[in-house]
Amino acid sequence: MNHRLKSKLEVAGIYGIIIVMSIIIFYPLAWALGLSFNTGTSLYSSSIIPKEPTLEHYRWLFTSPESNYVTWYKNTLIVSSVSCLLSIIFTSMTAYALSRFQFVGRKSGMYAFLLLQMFPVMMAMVALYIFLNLIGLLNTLLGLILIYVGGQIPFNAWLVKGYLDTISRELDDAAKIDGAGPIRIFVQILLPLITPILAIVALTNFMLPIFDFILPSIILHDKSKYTLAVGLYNFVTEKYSSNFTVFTAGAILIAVPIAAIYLFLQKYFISGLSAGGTKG
Amino acid sequence: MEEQPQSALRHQTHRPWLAMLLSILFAGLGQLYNRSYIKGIVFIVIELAFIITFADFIGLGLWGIATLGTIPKLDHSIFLLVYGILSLIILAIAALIYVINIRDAKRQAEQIRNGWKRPPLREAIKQAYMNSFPYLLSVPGFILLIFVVIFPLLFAISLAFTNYDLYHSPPRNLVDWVGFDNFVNLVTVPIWNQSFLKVLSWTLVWTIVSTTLQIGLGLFLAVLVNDKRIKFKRLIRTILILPWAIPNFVTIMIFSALFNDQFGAINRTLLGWLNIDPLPWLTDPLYTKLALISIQVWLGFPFLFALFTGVLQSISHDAYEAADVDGGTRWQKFRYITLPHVLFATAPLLIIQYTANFNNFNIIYLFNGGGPAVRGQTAGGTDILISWVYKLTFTTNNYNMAAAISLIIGVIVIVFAFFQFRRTKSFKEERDQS
Amino acid sequence: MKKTLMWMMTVVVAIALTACAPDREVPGSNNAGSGENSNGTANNEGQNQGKTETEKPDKLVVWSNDDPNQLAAVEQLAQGYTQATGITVEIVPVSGSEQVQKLALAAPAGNGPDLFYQPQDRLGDIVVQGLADPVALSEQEQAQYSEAALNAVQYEGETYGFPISVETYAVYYNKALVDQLPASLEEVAALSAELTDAANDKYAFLMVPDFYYSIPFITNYGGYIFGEADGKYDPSDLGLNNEGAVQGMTAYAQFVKDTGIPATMTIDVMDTLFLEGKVGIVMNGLWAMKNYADKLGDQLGTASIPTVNGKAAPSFVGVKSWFISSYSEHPTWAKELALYLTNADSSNLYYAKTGEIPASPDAQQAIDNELYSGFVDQIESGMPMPNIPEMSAVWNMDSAIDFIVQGDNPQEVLDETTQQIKDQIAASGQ
Repeated sequence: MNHRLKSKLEVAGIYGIIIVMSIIIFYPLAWALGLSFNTGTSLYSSSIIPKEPTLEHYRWLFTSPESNYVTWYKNTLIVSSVSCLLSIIFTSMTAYALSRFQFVGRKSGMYAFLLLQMFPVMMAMVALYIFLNLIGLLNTLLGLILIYVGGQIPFNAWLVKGYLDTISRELDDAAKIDGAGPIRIFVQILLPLITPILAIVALTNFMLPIFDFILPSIILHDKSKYTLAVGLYNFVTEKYSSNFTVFTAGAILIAVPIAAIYLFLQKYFISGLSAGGTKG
Repeated sequence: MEEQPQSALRHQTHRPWLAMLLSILFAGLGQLYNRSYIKGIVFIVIELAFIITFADFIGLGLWGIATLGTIPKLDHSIFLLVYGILSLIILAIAALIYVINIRDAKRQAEQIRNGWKRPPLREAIKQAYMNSFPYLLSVPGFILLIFVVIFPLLFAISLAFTNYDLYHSPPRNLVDWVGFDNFVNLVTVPIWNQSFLKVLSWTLVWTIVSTTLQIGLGLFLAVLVNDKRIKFKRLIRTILILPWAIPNFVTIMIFSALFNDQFGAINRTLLGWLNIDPLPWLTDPLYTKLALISIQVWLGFPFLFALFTGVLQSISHDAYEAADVDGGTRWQKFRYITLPHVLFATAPLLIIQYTANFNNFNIIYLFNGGGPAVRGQTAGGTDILISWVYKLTFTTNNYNMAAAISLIIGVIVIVFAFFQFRRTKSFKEERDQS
Repeated sequence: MKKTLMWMMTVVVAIALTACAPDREVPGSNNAGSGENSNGTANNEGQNQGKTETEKPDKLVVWSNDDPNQLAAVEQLAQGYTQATGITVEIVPVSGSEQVQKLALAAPAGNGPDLFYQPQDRLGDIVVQGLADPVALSEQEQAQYSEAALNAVQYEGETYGFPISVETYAVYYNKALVDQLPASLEEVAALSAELTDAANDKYAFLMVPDFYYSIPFITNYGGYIFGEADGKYDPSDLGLNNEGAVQGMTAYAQFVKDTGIPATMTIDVMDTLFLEGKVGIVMNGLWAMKNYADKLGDQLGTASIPTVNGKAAPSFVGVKSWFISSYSEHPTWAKELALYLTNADSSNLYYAKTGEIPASPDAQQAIDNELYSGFVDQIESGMPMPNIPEMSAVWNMDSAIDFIVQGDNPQEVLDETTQQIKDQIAASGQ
């Protein structure tokens, strides 16, 4: 009996901790939600629940002729989906080569890139700007996409390679005996097996353009080409006309669908991340 | 080679050195000599195309990177530097192809001399395809990497050796190479050397404390939620990874408002209930540091939570059952089974977490701009290296110094990560053997 | 094979190096599509008429600030210009705070505008980087602008900009709380005894305690930022830790203490509290006018800043202006467009759309909104923000003011900060 009581107390304790954590997580989010219904433009409010709740900021985002929110949303979806797709292609190709073939500079090259990417990149942006200008991709979504895709390769190729390494080569060999070429082996046999880790690559690359405001603010000039992050960030950095309430409203409309995606992909996410990251 | 070819004599007169020399003269000639006509023509076309396309650009680029321009206003030093670096990259790629061409010519000539029999065309193509397959797979990614990662890096490093600042800014003025002057200034000029050690020490504290806490919290919660008596796991996990689903800069700005000394909700509501005097979150460096660390933990733990949850599920039950038989306590099981397994499995990812926080510009800059100010130094009380560099260089356009300090920061981080990676690798191999 | 590689590289590099100093006869051979003038105005401090281009362009590009009201005004004005001349004007919205940085890359790359927008305090940066050329204005053209505005867009004796509007800060007050504005800022402290109740967020007077807003306390006691000689600023002569500046900052610390201004006050908080009717007087810029007037209506009043140390209190004045990019291929037409955009009629329209005080004296007089009188008065006693690049180091004073307000010794703090400013100027590479 004593044992069972102890167990029950423990479970209660765990739930208690989880509840406390949930409060800590929801507290700032609740403020953000409250702010987005507040009148005015200020980030300060005397209570978490607005006194005169209003939908004006949401309405403004979608209906005001001054608002580019819908365009930004569209741009972001384009950048996100295309860079997500290209990332999967490039990453899995590279990872397949790294995992299944011997060639010059295979392993050291991979680690070198992984390390080089830790370099702080403040000054590098200028170089990318001039380069994109040279090849005519400045102020285009395609230029932005290419940089996102290129930048993610080392880390993700490393993750996917780790995952591929856990899959027995006997499968490949068996297929080879059946006369399958390397492309067929990859597409028909390996690809289905590595979906969990590809789900992670897909998700992180889908998220990156949604979260990043620094790169697009340098590469994109036209407001009509902005992605959501830059657009929203500009609401709050104008020195004299910060508009925090519209900013939070816009941010919430991003966060909700993302949270939904996380919810649905959670299973893949958790298993893929651990298996890929552990075997690199 | 065991079978004696019929026309052995002709093969023996085939000269590898001649093939090599021809290929050096012009790519593809050696292959023609080897009678690999298709291959030879491909190489010739590549070289011709290369010369036609890039000759002018490379000429300009090399001249540009050597001089950085000679006539102000007409020559734009920064553009020339970029062209120069691109030219060097293109040349390096070309040289690589050239070397492959020469090696190929020589090797094939040697094979021919030794009486190798040319396979039928289809066979040859198939063989070439199989041999080059891994390269075909990785070359597109590799080229993208060179232009997106390596090229900007080379540019940033080059700037550290120039005098690119407001008064040497194109278009009006030219930038010049100055060797190691910037690094000398770094140790001799007061505004740089005054605050450097202070900032560096807080950067280290910040990196170690915030990252370790976020890892600790992530692991703790992962273990708790993994307990088989807990229900609603899916819901709980979704809640716990929620902070990850919101753009960082949004949350940091909201936190910044919540932490305001007089008007922030934290001081008002939370401390109001507990009847505590308002705490100086934004005006006292110590409290700002506490706030920053808490926020970073809030932002960072969900990723680790997800990661650890996955790893925990992959630990086999056998080990725990064996421990149960031996009467191991829960702590012992955690200490000797769970922890080593988890840390071993995730070490490289954890190292990346540390290096990311070392350069975590966003949170420092957006939360309180590195403030509050501290007497007698140009860095604010919570500035880490990267945000301090930003402040010092972008208010006064000291790009050369920004590049020089970035280079130092980069070297520190990379050396640290390199040795940690090595350690985890050797650690792994040892384990794999045992 | 490594040897071969090395050898190859050397040969290739050597050939390339000898082959290729660029041919200077061909304009723009050094970078793709740059919009330079072939007779490049390299060293002559060239006036625009030096460029021999008169042919009417099809299109002029203007980088406007991205504020929606300003954008709307500029777009409407540009349409008028197009109707009058047939030249298309393409308006590109670019955030004002990012224009200089973007221009430095975009203009040489051939993506720059003909006209761009900046407040005059960035002029030094712009000139030092060679992004704008000086303009020659006839007397008639000069008469289009107020003298103060025109002075503000001069750098080292040359005129660069076309002033659009003038901005500064003054005080707003809530008539429901304060019926008679005190004549001096020092008297405001007395007012706070009855109005300030920090526990309930009620304040008699609020301002953001930073350098920008507290400059009257420095100047009115004898401090200054840069010394001036021959109409030029002298960055080696800093007057921020002289006797007057120390006295002024001591008085400021006392003032902040007496009025009970919280040290972490931000514009955002101040606006919220003022709009909620909890604050009697706030010091804020013209940009807050619309927001305040919409909410407070008739209760809102404006005035110039009450005196400090018995003298009219100066404020920083900014002059928003158009500048001609030195990479413009049509500087003569760009100048004409800039003059058109800032003439009296255009200024009237600009004022109507944006609520900014025009730099054109005629348009300034035409304003019949009572709320503007406080600001027009304030501009009279305002001082232009120094436009030399060294000014960026002076913002270290923000931290100095934090320390002084928190009770540190003003003399020590100002000495330290002045030294930092000097060091930073010295390290900036001139």
